[in-house]
Amino acid sequence: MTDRTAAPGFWTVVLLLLGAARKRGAGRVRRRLELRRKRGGLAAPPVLAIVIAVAFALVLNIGVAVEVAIAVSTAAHVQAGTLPDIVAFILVAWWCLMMICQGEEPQLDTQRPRNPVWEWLFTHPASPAAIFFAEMIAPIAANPVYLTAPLFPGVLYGIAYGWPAGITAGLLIGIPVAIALACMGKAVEIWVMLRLSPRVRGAVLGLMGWFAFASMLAFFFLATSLQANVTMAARWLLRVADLPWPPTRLLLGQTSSGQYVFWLGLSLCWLLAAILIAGAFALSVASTRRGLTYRSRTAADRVAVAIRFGRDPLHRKELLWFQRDGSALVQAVLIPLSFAAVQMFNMRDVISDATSGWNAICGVAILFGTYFLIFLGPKSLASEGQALWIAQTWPRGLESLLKAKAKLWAEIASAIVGVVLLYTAVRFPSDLGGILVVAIAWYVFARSLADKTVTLASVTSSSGETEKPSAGLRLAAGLGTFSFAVGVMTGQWNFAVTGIVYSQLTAAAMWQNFRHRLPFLMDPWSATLPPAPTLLHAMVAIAAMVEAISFLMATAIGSHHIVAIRALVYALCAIGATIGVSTFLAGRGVAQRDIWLWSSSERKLRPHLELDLRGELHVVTLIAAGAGLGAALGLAGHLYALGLHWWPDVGRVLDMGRSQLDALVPGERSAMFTMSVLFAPFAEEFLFRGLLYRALDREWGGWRAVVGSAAFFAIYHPVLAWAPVAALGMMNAVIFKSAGRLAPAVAAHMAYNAVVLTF
Amino acid sequence: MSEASLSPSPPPPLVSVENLVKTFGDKPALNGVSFSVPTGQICGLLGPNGSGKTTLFRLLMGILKATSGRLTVDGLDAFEDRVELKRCIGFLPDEPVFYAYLSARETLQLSAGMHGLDVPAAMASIQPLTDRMQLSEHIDEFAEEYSRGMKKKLGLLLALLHRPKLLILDEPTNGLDVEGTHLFYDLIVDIAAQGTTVLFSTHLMDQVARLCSHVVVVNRGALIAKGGVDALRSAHGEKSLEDIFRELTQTPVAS
Repeated sequence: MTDRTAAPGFWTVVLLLLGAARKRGAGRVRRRLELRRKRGGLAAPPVLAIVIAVAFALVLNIGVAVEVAIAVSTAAHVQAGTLPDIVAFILVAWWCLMMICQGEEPQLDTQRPRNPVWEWLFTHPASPAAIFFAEMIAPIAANPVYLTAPLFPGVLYGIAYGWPAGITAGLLIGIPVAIALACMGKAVEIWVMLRLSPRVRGAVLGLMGWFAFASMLAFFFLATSLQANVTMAARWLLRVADLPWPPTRLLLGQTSSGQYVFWLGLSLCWLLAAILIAGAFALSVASTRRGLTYRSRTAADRVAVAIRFGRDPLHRKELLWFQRDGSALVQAVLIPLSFAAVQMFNMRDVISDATSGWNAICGVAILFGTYFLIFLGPKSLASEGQALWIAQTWPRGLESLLKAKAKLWAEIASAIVGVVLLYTAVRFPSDLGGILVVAIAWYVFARSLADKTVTLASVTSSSGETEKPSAGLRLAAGLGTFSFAVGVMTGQWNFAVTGIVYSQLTAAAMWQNFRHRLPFLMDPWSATLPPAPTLLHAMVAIAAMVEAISFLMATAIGSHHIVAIRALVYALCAIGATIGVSTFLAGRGVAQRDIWLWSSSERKLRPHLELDLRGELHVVTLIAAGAGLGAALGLAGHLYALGLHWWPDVGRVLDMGRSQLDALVPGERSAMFTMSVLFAPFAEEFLFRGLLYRALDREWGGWRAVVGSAAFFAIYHPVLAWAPVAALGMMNAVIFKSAGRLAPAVAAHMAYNAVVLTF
Repeated sequence: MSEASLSPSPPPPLVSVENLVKTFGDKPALNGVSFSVPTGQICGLLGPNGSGKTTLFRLLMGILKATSGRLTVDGLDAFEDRVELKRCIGFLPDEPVFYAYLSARETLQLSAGMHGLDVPAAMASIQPLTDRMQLSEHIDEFAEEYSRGMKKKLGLLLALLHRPKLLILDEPTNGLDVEGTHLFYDLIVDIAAQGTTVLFSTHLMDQVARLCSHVVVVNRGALIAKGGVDALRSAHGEKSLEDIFRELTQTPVAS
């Protein structure tokens, strides 16, 4: 056996490694799909996913070429001199940079850079040149954006010379240019991996990935109003027209006299590609000269400064991450900012309609912050990377870790939103009070939103695959997220308050479930659901009831102004929701009895706050006491209504409602009375106290749960009724807990409604 | 198979495993394993690659939940009481990875804080051990840039920081040089002498012969031998541990 048969030739190695790279590209898609199939979800065939990726790349490269052509001709209309050249240079250079930054795929998860297997490759009897050449053109095989890159010069030449020349240029110019750009991208990556410390490395790769990603999006958005943008940019570009801009038109073979010479463009493009390839080779050789693994330049990278931040060790750790790891800024600020900006762009019509008042600007800032947190939260565990095991050796490690991250995310978002609010305060100094209230409300909201979104954290399993939470869970976290922002933006303050209350409750509900799921992050085989009824069950039941009512009132029944029908719809939906959720819970082993009664062992009574009256007093006494309290609160409700007349406008609204009620025919009046006194109390106590308050008490306990459940109860009522309804909710929560049964709370609710409607 | 009896009047075992079964979906990992580790002893967990050693450790750490069977440490259930249990277990994984942006000192401080210890006091008490591991002069370097052996040493410091009752070491001497390996041996003996129970996995026989008083052998998720090292030796006709191990693990498990 000779050496010749043992060692593979240059092209064999290149082809082998390119095949591996192609599989790597398709494999990522396939792995994701297989993972989903394993978990029982439906999976589209990988072919479809690959076709979509290729189609996207095709549209991108052809689209940018057309954009360049349109932009240059627009610029020529503005000024025929150097302006078209400048515009062409900027766009072509931008496209090239985007291609260089693409790599095998734009990497946004910068904590886990690809692990190059060069050392292993070099243990084989293959020529180093072949290995590096294959490595450098690997992105072409893995990323369809490179595969379709020849279309970019092809389309431009086609526009200038006609389609036969375009096809020739696509082959003769496009292919070498695509190879050159891929080589350069890979060479930069090799340099980053070998010559930069792990902390800087993540930042540079992250920035490159971000640039590639943002550029792709920018090219798509640029297309929407290209001519206007070019005309606007022209004013600025003309000021710097005297700088020595390279004659980009030469790349297309256009001479200064305006003639097109194909071979001139061809040879210049070839020259440029050759320079790029040579530069890429030089850079990768220079990078590999000092070994194939990173060694710090000095004997040791010593930690320079360690600043003390507060007492919480986790908070300090996260702040040190920000201070030292460059990828933190990319991952926790730049990428969420870009995504938030894209969403703002999508909503530009809504925003431009409402940018006059101070609240509109605040609302836009809050909308931005909301998107920011929605994007950042689920990334929380991925950034821990492989060091997650350390947190698992701490008592309560993961829970505290995620809560600390949520706090930090809320603080970053608040800093960004705060800047805009500060600007608003300077522009509208007379509205400082309102802006301050919005700022405080935003922080409260941001904390709960961050708490909510970190529960969507995807976990990296030991095999390196990221496991995402279910779509249902993501949907639940997203519900009602924008109420606060939209409420502030449009000045509908009740909407804003609803958003905050809703977010607080959802965060509590999701943590109740997540805390149960958290020990099984690494062990999904053992995971079980938390014991029913959970807070999420209660919230879904209430939401289903409210949605059904508003749907039927708004669409199915046109005659919604007839009070009797409204009463009937409400009664039917309330009963339907109660029966529905009871049946659901019965399937989970929770009997009706378990909802209507609250056993002493399950209630954790706090010594100074709550009484245990169960067993102390007879049921009938408790019910009578409940009814008495309800009636008293009803009278207080009338006093509150009288008090509201202090404000003439509010009084007028109240009187209008009153007179409508007085104008009712007797039958309607009794229908409404029957509904409010005989049906609503059962359904509402069942849902808001029996399910919601009980579950919230498990999560928060004490007065916070009382107030929280009452606030949630209140926001489903008209704004003017919020205060008395919240008082009723608080009273009934206390009654339910101290009596250990729902019946007295139902009696109180009935008495309250009867008193409020009677006088 | 003869099971070697423990010493005449055994102290209550710190770790007790009864009929432990763990399956991942339909894939079995541990199949009815029972053994106990007496307090203050060094116990070696032997087994070829993929025999379920790491799964057993993760079960002890409360990261996984047993499908059936009981697993207690110091009377506490390994899963139900996992929060309390982490206060008395120190764990060194096979390949410790650290936060790239924290120095070794900051990593230790963070972990001390998360265990609820008084950070300066804990750092002072770990100082002699840091010196002994020759990490003191590198303590302010980024931990992620340490060599493999230094990472192992730092991992051991992290595991010992809160003075655990049980020290779990997964392949502790993998990646250590000769000097480092012997340093680890001496340390393990010293730690055990101070009353800490040590459970470590390995596939190196001379380590077991040198350090352990007890040994548990698993293969393909099943327990195939347990007991005192000397008893095991005498039961197999005074062969070398290496030979006993090969003999045991090559016997096909009855199915």
